[in-house]
Order: sequence, then C-alpha cells, then structure tokens
Amino acid sequence: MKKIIILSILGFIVCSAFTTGILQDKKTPALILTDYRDAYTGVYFCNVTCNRLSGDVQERDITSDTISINITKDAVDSILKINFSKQIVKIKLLSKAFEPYPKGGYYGGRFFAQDSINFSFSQGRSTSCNYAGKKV
Amino acid sequence: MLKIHLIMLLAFLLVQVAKAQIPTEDLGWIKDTTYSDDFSGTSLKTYKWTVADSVPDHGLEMMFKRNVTVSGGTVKIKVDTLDPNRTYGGTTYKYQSGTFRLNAASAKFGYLEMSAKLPVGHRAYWPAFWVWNGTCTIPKWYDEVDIAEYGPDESINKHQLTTNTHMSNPSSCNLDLNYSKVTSGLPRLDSTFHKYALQWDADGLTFYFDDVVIDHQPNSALVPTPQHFLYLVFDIYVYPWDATPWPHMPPAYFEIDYFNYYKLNIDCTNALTISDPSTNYYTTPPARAVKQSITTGTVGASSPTFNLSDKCTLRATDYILLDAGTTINGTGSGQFSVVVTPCPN
Repeated sequence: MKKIIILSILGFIVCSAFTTGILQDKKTPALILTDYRDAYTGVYFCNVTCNRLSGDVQERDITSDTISINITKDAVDSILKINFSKQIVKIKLLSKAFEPYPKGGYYGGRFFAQDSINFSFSQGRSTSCNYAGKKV
Repeated sequence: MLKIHLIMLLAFLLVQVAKAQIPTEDLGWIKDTTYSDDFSGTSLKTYKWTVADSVPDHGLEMMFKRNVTVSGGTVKIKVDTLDPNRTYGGTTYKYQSGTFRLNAASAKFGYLEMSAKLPVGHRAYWPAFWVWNGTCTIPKWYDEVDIAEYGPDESINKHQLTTNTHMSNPSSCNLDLNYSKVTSGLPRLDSTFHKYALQWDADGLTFYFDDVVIDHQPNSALVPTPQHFLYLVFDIYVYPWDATPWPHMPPAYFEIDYFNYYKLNIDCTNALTISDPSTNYYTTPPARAVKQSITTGTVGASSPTFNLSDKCTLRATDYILLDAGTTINGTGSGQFSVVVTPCPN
C-alpha cells in the first residue's frame, strides 16, 4: 500500500512537470523550441562560377560573378528554400548535405560550419554553376 | 454544293495536317548522308564524329574514348564505376563514361532521329541525345535542346522520357528560358530499339517517340526556337545530386543503331504553280522544295492530282492555294499535307 502511494506521488510530480499555463510561474521564461533549420537561413554572399561547354570538346567557357542568395524555411519540415538568380529551389537537409526536394532535380550541395554554403546548379546539360559563399 | 465540297476538303486537310510529317510519311525529307550514320564498321567515322577524353563539370564522371565502341552495326557508350578512382583538378572521380558528337556545329533545322536502347534502372544513369551551342562573348547566346533525356527518377521508372528546351535571353549566355516535359507510359527504353526524333522547324520544335508526337513547342518569347547551328551529342552523365549513397551502380550501355538527319529542299524565293505534280513538283529540282508560294490548279487550265501514296506535303512561306481542278485522290495509303512555314535556311 505504501508503495502505491509513493508511486502515485511520483507520478503526480512527473505529470506536473509537463503542465504549462496557469500553473506556470509567470516569471520563469518559457522554453523556446528552436528549429535546426534556423542555423542555415539567411543571406549568403557567393562567388558564382559557371561552366559551359565550348566548341572545343576538352575546354569549357568559365564565367565568374558575385551574387547574394537567400535561404528561407519551407512550410514542410526539414525543407529549405534557396532563392537565387530569380529562381527558387527547395532542398532537403541531410545532416549538412542537401539534395533536391523532391528528389530528382538538378542541383545540390552542402553547408560548412553554419555560415558557409557550396551549392551547384545545372541548367541543362551544357551549363552548370557553382555558388560558394558565406552568410552576411 | 460547292461550299460542301470546300468544307469537306478543308476538314480533310486539317485532319492530314494534324498528322506527323515524319520522313516515312513525307517524301519531302531528304536524308543527309554527310551526317547520317548506320554505325557500320569497327570504329566511329572520324570524318563525321569527334570522340575525346574529357571531364564534364558535374563532378562524378570522367569521359573516356575507350568507353565509346562500335561493333555489330551499333555504337555503344558504356557507363561504369572507375576503379581505381582518379583524381583530377582536386576532384576524385568515381565513375567513367563516354561522349561523342558531330565534328562541327552542323545541325540546324530538319529532322534528327536516332534508333537506340537507353540505359535505365539506376538513379545514376543520366543519358541524352541532344544539341547545343553558344558563346559568352558578344553577341552572347546559348541554346540547348534535349531530344531524349532522363534523370534519376525517370531512370528508376524505366518508362519515362524527358524532352527539354534550354535557351538564353537575347544578349545573354545564361539558360534562363527553360521548358521541360516528362512523357510517361512508354515501353521500357532499354529492352528494344526505339526511335527518338526532333523535327526542328524555324517556328517550332516537335518531339517524337517511335514516330508519334510526344511534345510540340511553338516558337515564343518564353520558349524560343533555336536559330543557330548546333552541335549534336550522344552521352551518359552520372547524376551527382543525391545526398544519400546509392547501391552499387552496375555498368550500362547507351546503344545507338543509327542516326539519321533529314533536311528539306529550299527554294523560298520562288513561286510555283503545280499543273502536274509528277512533272513539276515531285521530281523537278529542287523537288518538293519549300517555295515562296504554291498554287495548284486553275479553272480550265490544269487538273493536278495528288495521291495519298505520293506522301506529299506542300510547303510554302507565304501561302498555298488549292485552286479549282485540284484533286486529292484518297486511294492508297499515305498522306497529303499543306504547311505554311518560315523558310528553314
């Protein structure tokens, strides 16, 4: 009988720990759950290197530029959006690497640390561009 | 009564125009033997084709000449793992493949067709039969048309094909104008030879699978029709953007039985009146050509007769007038079509 009473009390304490609202001390700051995607969102300033097939089979035309790309969260869990060069693509995070969402698109890449990105994008078979940069 | 006849004729012509003017149904197409190839012999004909070791920029495969072989009347491109891996320019390459193309940028308008088996079944296989060309020096331009291509999802599906147009805006070399279509429900692409073709007119692109139209893209500001000479390429890339590891990629082949390039005779500055097709249209040089205008029949003067079995498509840049006395004989198998088109020059 003693055991049952002790277990009941313990159960009450544990359950109380999960209650929020009117029983919560208003002076205690509420626990804020963070979205791990927040670490990757923001504006990245990138060097863009585009490779295009050239008339010579063994050579490629290479052009360089700098642009900003903007990474935001998508409504779907684990999914981010990359806004670049008047285009928006969706990516799925798998650790620090990311792949097209849904699968099968012609782009991908990875984050380095939490402030750098390397992103490649192919528009057609003849042209691919690589975006490498840091969060501003 | 005359009205009824005209309406019937018009309806008949509309039905015929809706059909494809593929070379087997339209004797106006002339096979260009300079570029067409049945891949006989034991090696690629170097006066037509360029094959070289190269490194595309997608990051996973190196292209080797040894992976393009000719035997038994077909050319085969092999894609495989690269063991041991090779490092070049700081990148480690795990896969090998091959590519070959026409020696010069010599494809412009016409009907380009291959009969081929394509590799399917693994997400890595990314083959294509395609044309491209462009420059980033002024005046900038860049064109790409993928006549037959598929990526990882289509490869796994085994019954899908993608046709794409990637074009630059004027004075740009960025491929910002893009159009794609996935065609589903096809027979397996690797088990038997199938025909893949592009009818490249000056005012539009029509894509075919086994002689059936699967897509048509009329010339527009958003999907402009290429107007330049382009390179024609066969290759297999290795799809690089899955973040999760694949199962082992088995070797596979892109096997091409033949490539045919058909063109139209051009005589766009001359008008033609057809009094008898057999004497002044089918055989008189330039036979069955694209003319400035075509008029057939004149009351009391001539009664030209076109037979369906003549497989005739009248093509003109300005107008085509089927005047009184013109007869389209419905007996026999074939088609009769009329096409008003920009000059394909």
